[in-house]
Amino acid sequence: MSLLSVENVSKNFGGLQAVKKVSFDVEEGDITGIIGPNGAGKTTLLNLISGADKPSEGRISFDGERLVGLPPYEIAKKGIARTFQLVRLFNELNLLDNVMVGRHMLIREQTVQILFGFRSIRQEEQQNRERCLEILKLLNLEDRMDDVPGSLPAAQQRLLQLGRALASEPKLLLLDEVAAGLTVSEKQELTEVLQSIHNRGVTILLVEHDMRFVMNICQKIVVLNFGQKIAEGSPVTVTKNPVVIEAYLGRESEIAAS
Amino acid sequence: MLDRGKVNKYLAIGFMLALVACLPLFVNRYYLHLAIMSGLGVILALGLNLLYGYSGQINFGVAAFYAIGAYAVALLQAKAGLYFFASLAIALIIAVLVALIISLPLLRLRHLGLALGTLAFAVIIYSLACAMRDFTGGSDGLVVPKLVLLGYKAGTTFYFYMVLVLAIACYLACHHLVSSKIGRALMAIREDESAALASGINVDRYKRLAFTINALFTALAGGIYAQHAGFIAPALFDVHFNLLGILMVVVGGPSNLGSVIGGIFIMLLPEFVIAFKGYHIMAYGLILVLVLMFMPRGITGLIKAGTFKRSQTRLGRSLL
Amino acid sequence: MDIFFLTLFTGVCVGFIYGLIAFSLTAVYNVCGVLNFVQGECFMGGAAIGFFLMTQLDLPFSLTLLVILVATGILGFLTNYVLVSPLLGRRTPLITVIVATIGATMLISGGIGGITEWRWMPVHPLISGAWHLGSLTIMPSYVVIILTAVVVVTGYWLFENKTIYGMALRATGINRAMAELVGIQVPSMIALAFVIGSIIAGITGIVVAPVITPHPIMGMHYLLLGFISAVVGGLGNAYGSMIGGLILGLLGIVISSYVFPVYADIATFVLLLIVLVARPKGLFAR
Repeated sequence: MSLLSVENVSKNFGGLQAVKKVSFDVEEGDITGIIGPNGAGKTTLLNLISGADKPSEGRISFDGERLVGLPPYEIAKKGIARTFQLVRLFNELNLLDNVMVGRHMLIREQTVQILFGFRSIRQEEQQNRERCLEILKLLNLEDRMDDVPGSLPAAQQRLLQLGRALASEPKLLLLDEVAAGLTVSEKQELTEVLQSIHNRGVTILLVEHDMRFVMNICQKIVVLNFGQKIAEGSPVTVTKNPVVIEAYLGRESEIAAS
Repeated sequence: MLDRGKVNKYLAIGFMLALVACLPLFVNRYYLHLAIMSGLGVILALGLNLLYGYSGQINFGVAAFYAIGAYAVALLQAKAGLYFFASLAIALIIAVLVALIISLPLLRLRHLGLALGTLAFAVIIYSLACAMRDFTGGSDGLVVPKLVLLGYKAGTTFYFYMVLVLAIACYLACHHLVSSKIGRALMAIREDESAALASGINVDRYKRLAFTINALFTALAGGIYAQHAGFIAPALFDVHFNLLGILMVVVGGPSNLGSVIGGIFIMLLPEFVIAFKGYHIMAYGLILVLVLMFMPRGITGLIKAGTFKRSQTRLGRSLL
Repeated sequence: MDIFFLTLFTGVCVGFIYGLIAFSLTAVYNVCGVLNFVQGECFMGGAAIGFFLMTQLDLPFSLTLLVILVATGILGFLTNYVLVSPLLGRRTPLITVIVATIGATMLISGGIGGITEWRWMPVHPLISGAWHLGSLTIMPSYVVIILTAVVVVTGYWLFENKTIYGMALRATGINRAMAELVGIQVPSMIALAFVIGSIIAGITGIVVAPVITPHPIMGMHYLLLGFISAVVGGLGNAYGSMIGGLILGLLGIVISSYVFPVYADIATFVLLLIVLVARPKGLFAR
């Protein structure tokens, strides 16, 4: 059984069909990519999986359980974490606290214990803080842990979002255009980070625009265009697919080069 | 393990509190009354700040729960013959129940809509207090039975210590709250609700929690006020009272310490401006405008202005 | 039957009063998101100037109106220049800016109150006598209010749609970033909005003064009612806030007349809560 199963999912916005009967599976332990031209419905699809939006029809199951209709925090509790295309960070909290928020579900602190200042709370905070610090170290952000997100360059803000998502120790990581706007060397670093996350057993589903980046890292690629799935398979298969090439008309040079 | 700096800080605070505790020995009843009002202001501000400063939810209707606390304490004693402490406890329970109910629709609002919604609730409570003459005494007000403890009539000194202890307790509770996952969740909600939801935070539930604690603190302050003052009337809980609450958190700054400073400042400010005979409201307004112009992030905001690049919220690290 | 029409008529007038204030508030809110409480004092100020000049010094209405236009215009400009824009520039949270305007409110009403020793400031009707329409007796001052509302709304519509400055102002309200991109000077637009809003509030004040008994602290009361009307009507939409005012006015008067007056307040605010919860953006929000 696949970890994530998307069946015949559609989403209508008034008259616009952003996603049309899309179906695919994400196998546990894989890095799966969703690609497609702008407006293909990739982010919408991610929103439907993470619960930020509800599908007009279709089924989404994770580990055998139904996701449709659950609020985002319930879906997060099941082990799905995500990042946002337009970075959503907590601007008045420092980096460490940003990551700590991601860990919210795992922190065991009862209200009564908190109000009366039990020592166990401080210990729990300390332990989780250490774990989050490790995550920051993984992303090379630990020496700026007291700074606010606003003082970081865009690429590192992306990494911070990733760190926050990792803090919840998810089974499935949904990444929305995490490589957009990065330089070549930044993309290389990101690839390494994603590989190391992958090696720890986390399943990754990433939405991306950059063909080359996706081909380097994914075991399987799903291609969307105008809200519909037009291809699915290994990177090599997909890039040789004439339908896919046509959808990316004008980008032949990019595909040919890889 | 013990940090010298921290020990010194705690000693200093302890010393100041000890001084404050000796206040009844030095000052007369009038100044004790001011101290009591300041303490109530601190409790109120702490609760409001949890909702506004940390969670980012505007509450323009603190008078509502202040009145609920006050009237509950007054009516339970006057009409039901209960003892003060029991009345206070029941008043708090009533406040929590009302908060849980009213927060359901209210917290779906945002920004100005929420400000107006909370204000509307406060005005409705005020109007009900005026309208239900037979029950609440209407605009004429209600006398609160005096408290008798162990044969002695509880006086200003008693209320002073009661408020002092409670203010410290509320401060500690808020301090712990803020340095925990709850505090972080509230701040996350303030910054970005979608990201908070995606991080597994049940935004509605936490908003309601903050709202309920706010109601609890406010009702506590109201209940003690009623007992201390001995007399309450709807005029005390009018629109302007809501403004006082907001002023406390805005002028003090969006932190627990800010609430303490703001609470005391706003409660004592009328005393200073009385000197400007006839023009005291103008002086009040002028001071407000000046404070906000030069310290837009509140008094504590100014202290931290220099460290703006670094986080304003170093959880659990300092008393600020 | 006569009483019914008079009640309705009064309700409409009161509605237009709230509507005008709401209109002036929305004009400013649309451009910069600030609820300018000082406009409540412009309203009171209009009445106060009417009191000082017309009642106490017996000066003609035309002069009084001119003074009001200038005084409220300057007040609006100063409020923006000294208080609001500097604070907005330092990225202060909007609530703090609004609270700052409340502080300015106390400054002004406290000042006027001090001068008048907190006494009423009656203003005599601009047109004396009463008009008779069949069996109904109508006070001209009420008609003046209705006319003023019509003139203000029409004038503003013409301004917004037929003049360059008006269109620029409207554009800034719709999308500030785009407005900047096409070269509109947003700070000037904000200043313009403040001046216009304050002047409208001031005109409302002098026009309403004969019908109520003005008092130095009435500003806040009317401002709040105007604010509620604006929210009910939909904060993005100035014309909607006029309708919000009408709803509020009619509701208040009707309940006052046919039920107990003290429940008018409760009803108004319960209505407000219902609208807010059902349609958080107001009835006609953009």
